[in-house]
Amino acid sequence: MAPTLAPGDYVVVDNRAYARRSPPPGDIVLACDPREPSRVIAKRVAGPDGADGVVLLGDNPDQSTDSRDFGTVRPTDITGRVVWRYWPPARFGPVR
Amino acid sequence: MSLLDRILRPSRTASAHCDGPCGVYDSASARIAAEAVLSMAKKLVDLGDGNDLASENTRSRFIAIKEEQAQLAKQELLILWTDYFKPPHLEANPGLHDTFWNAAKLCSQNKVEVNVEAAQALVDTIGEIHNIFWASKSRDDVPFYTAG
Repeated sequence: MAPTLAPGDYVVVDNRAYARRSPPPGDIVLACDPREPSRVIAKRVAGPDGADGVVLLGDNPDQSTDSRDFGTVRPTDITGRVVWRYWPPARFGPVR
Repeated sequence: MSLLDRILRPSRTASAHCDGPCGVYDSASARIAAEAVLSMAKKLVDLGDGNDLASENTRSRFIAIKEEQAQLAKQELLILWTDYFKPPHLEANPGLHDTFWNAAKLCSQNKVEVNVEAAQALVDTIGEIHNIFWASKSRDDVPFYTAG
């Protein structure tokens, strides 16, 4: 997810963000990897794909493993929205 | 772990990059292995049919290296094919799958046979992959060269 997220960033996640609505394009979300549900991934919502799936893409397309590899993700597998980075201090602020 | 880190550290970890996060790919790895296969095929032909102990020993070594390097070339090709290349690359290069399949088949043929033409064809096919690979990175400054 470079350059938006860097390895070792500490972020706050809103687990209730999508309790009443579906994830809009542009949001950075945590989701269960469809290939390995115990693995949590952080990706950006690219758009809905019909009624059943959400397309997730990395911000660094050359090197990202994302919906181009594992297909769409079920909305119920999207567990929260990444909202704020609190570490490192130099990059403190909202995650967009 | 410092106290500060213990306080700040999140409870869960998320992955945000690719399966192999280094992101370093280069068709040169496959090309070097293929060149070794070509070199061994040529040396095997040059060695001739001698059955003395020294010739048998040298032949065995050449064959072992040819087998090993053909397998390595196949492995390096598979990494590029399955990890680096993505569906958008396929749209830009509709022949991508055929080219890789052909290259992988040539790796196998070079194990089965002692065939200088097949070894040269493998190097040439990896040259095609080199061109597709660097074009996909919008790089036109990486010439295909051979060490041999």
